[in-house]
Amino acid sequence: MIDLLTLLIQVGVILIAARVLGYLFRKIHQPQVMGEMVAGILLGPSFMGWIAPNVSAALFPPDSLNVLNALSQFGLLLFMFLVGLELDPKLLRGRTEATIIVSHASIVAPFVLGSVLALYLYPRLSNEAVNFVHFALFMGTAMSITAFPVLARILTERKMLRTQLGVIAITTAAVDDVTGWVILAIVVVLVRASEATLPFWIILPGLATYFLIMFYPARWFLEKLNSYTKKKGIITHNVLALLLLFVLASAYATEFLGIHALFGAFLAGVMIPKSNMFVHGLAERLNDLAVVLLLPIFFAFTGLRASIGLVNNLEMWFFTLLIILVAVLGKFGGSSIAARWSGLSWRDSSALGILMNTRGLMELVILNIGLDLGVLSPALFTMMVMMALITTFMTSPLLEWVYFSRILPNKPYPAAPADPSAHKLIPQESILENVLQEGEGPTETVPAQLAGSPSSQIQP
Amino acid sequence: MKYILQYMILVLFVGLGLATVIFFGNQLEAPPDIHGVWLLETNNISECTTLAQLDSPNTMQLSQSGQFLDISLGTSDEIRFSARFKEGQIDSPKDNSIHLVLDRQSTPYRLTGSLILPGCEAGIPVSYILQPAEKSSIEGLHP
Repeated sequence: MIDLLTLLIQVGVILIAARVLGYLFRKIHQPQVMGEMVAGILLGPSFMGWIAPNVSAALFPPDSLNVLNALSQFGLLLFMFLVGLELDPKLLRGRTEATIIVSHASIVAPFVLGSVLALYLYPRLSNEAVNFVHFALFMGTAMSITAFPVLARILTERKMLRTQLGVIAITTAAVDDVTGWVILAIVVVLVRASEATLPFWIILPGLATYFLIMFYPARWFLEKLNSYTKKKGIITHNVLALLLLFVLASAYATEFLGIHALFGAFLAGVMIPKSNMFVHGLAERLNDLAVVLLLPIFFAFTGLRASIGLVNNLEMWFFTLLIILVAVLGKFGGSSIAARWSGLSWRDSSALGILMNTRGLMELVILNIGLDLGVLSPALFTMMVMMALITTFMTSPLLEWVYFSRILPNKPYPAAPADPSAHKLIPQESILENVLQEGEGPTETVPAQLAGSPSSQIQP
Repeated sequence: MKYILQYMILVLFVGLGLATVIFFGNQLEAPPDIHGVWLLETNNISECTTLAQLDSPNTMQLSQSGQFLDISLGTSDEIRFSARFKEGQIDSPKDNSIHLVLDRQSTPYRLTGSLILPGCEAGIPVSYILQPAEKSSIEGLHP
């Protein structure tokens, strides 16, 4: 039975905490989403449960958390759909060899280093119920994630989307996003295989059928909806309902087949035709609900599961530092060395490494999946959440220090040359047409809105 | 040609790296899974007033992160220890209030040892038995 009064108070408190912390973090030049993530942690046992345990117990009684969990899961489904919606396949198609190397190196280096770290952490922070291979693959995947929405927001706010660095960063992050989710899907299937209700001989053809449906009949159907919408000049309620049903069906199919509902929502977003009207129209309708109301609930729920009190001795703090060090070394090191090797200057390579090191809420999504699957222990989950917060927090000041403070105040950032052949690293201009138009238009990119850019309020 | 070489190095790096990690990782031994609710077998709660006053004095909840344990007695979280599992034994290094030895031969697992609590400073001998796992609908929530 849902205790409606408790739920209303919970959501109210979460909203207030998220808005206040988001505002305060914007004041110190951090993304709003960073403040919202910290608000979630503060509402959990790490802070409120520690200083006011009775208030915490009254506000978040264990029996009430199933409803909060359901709301946060629904918010994540919408969020992943919006992330997929923004991901333009054109970004993935027209890449040069150099961007392929940089994007793959930015995944491979942290993935391998994360797996090596698993050798050290497994006997200390896991138990024999967890298979080592699953543990290592999961640690590798969690280390390789980049927060595409936060990164896009930083690039938009700094007016870097048209620069050479911005083009490479957004392309690399888009590739990382897709690759990261594919790797995670494989890991989730492996982990769930041991307890799967469906045998492999049903899962594999089931997945093949799902992808076939998504790439052919579903795409055809979406194109028809797109044409209809163009004629009408507006996304009608019926079209919106059909699209939401499509997201739910896709999420249901992937959850049923043992991957995760979030993959289905993400792929549904990727499949949406990338016409400006469709993408913007859908984002306008769904973005506010997902970002303002539902994502803070997810952050609060994550905060309730993370307890810094579990990291209660020097050895545990050493593990946390080691995790942060390996995460930064793998993502920053891998990206910047590969970028330098591909011809970028040291400054641009470092800036790219810093941008790719932003993990943000995408990392929190993956960590929650790890905790649900039982691959991450509670203390390791908390350490990884701290890593996600710190790597996101360090992005803005480091970028300022390494990149912006070195550029004279009145001098424009180095722009991408008009002739793509002038620099090997510049992809064809048309590839980013969509992103660039959005970046300079009255509204920002969807990821920028998702990351809570202060100027991202969309007028109805 | 340069990019092909770079890509080959990348593929080699990930292939060799993962193979090495899996080879060495499969030889590692993680602590046994002792996470869950344990039930007191011994019938001596009256010897310890602190224990006797708890909501459910017979239960011990154990949250495990590898070797690191968060133990609470009863259900109201009034008595809580941070402890460590090493070489088959659970100890709380800060206050020595708990010392338990795991019997892995027993099915289900059994913990025997002593608790030192206010009201029973001399220590009370205890034996706990692991309850069949009841999968929580939400993992990782802390009291």
